[in-house]
Amino acid sequence: MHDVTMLALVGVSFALAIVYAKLCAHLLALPAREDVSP
Amino acid sequence: MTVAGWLEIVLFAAIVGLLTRPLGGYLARVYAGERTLLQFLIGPVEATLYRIAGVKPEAEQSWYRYAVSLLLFHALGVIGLYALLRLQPVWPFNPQNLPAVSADLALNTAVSFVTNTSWQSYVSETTLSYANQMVGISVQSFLSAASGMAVAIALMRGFARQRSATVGNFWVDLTRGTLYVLLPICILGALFLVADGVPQTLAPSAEVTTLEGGRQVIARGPVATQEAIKLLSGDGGGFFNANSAHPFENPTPLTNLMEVVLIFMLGTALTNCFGRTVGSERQGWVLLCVMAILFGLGVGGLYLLEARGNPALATLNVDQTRGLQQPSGNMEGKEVRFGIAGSVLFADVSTASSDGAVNAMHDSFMPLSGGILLANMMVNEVIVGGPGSGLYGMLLFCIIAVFLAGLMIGRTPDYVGKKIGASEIKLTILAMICVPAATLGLTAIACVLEPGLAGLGNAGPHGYSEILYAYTSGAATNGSAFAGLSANSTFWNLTLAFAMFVGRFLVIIPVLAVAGSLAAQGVSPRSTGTLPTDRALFVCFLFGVIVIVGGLTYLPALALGPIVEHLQMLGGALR
Repeated sequence: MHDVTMLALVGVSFALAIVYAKLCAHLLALPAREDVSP
Repeated sequence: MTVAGWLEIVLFAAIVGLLTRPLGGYLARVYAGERTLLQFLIGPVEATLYRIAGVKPEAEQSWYRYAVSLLLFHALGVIGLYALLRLQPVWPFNPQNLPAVSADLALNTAVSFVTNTSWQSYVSETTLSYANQMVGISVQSFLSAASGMAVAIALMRGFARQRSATVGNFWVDLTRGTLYVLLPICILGALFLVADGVPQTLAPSAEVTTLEGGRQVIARGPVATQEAIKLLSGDGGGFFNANSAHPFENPTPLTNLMEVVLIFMLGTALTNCFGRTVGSERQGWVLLCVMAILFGLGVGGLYLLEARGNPALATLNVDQTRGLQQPSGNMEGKEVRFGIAGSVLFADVSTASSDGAVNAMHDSFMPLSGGILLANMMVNEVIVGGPGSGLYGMLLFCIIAVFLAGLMIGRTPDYVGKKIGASEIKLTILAMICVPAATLGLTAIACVLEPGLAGLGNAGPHGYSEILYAYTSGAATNGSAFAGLSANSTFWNLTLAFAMFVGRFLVIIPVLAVAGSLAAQGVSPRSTGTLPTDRALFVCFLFGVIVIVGGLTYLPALALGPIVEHLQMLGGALR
């Protein structure tokens, strides 16, 4: 039982990390504001 | 403080400095896929590995695929190491017949070594078999270091490439880092250690009769091979519980010097590799200068504090003054064969890098010394740091620095020819905020929950420092322990595993995203409004940004621990 719990924790953690990477990709895909520097 | 002590520190700095350029050039050639001296020997092995794994070395990956490959590879690493630890009695090379590691400890240990942290909640020599030390722990030491370097290289490519959709191939970078960099240096390092007295044997622990007629069990094993990668990888997990304070891991002052050089050499060389990759070695020297200043302040402060001794002990008539009766001075928590200089040098190198090996007990250092060690880890591993993690941590600070400079002068910031826009800043902040969030959040939780307080060896500010140190060490993927905290409980094993996971992977992902974003850009032409980042001015500015950002984030937490304890000591309130 302990092993199942621990391995589930590992699986969920890495799955969330992949979702986090997807969110970062989404962040990059957002249109950037126009460059207003002189 | 002694002249010999300062000479030891200067000698160390000189050796590391001399290695930086040649090793940096070698790293640049390895990761560019160019031929090296070892090509004839390692090339066929590399090609065979690609064939077996079905990897096409010429096929490059986007940053997202690079990140997912890294995550899946390390997920398998955690599961594999967990299984090895849980099934320990089944494997060979277990002469002491050690039982299986408990579930929560196995999870903590697996995450710890896969994330290049090497936090050890266990006593190595009475918990892990030789098979698990060699196949479990050491293999992950190699792979986690190679993975950290791969991420740094991907970020370098982001700065160097123009309008590219890819940042490299994770499998190739991982393989080349392991085969061409880590393995050869470790073989030489292990041979050096064996020659100087470090054991390398599969024989069981020796049982001897002491002079008093008692029976003593002396643990031993394949120490030298693990020791070399423990230091080079920035991993730091000892074969013995006493780590590099144990005479079988670090027998002489010469091995002590060699060990600190091994810890720093890849981190410093990567700055030169960065300079070469972006076409200006000066950019790398600037980063190394900032690292050197931060390191110098740390080691100087530690040496000063430790050499002066503890006034609380002086009131008890403990002799801490150098003299004929007491040639070393304040030896509280230190090994006689290393003295004060060898101990503070090792402690500063270990916490400034992400290594976490120890040759003295940090818990026994002066309160402000403990504060310096904490501060080293709290600046996001940028004082050399681990292989790769130090460089990408420093480059994140560079991005913040040029952003702040851009705000001051009203221009879009750029760094080594790449514009730093809103996306890069958001991703950098994401990468930088998760470590303090995990460290401070978990420290607060542990301070108010019974399971968190149960493992403490001290009350008051020192006890708080023990908690803060544990989570700082975990989230910074350092792995050194302050000692005094019994961390082998379900609460500590799980929360520290969480801190290590966050500190490693939730930093790496946005770093790779920044790499992808930068690689997709063209080069921004240099103009009169461009902040020069290869001058002394930028060294000072970057140093200031690191100190201010680190200070603003962690000073309140440090004030409650080491600073209060120092004031208590001065006020005579410590007992």
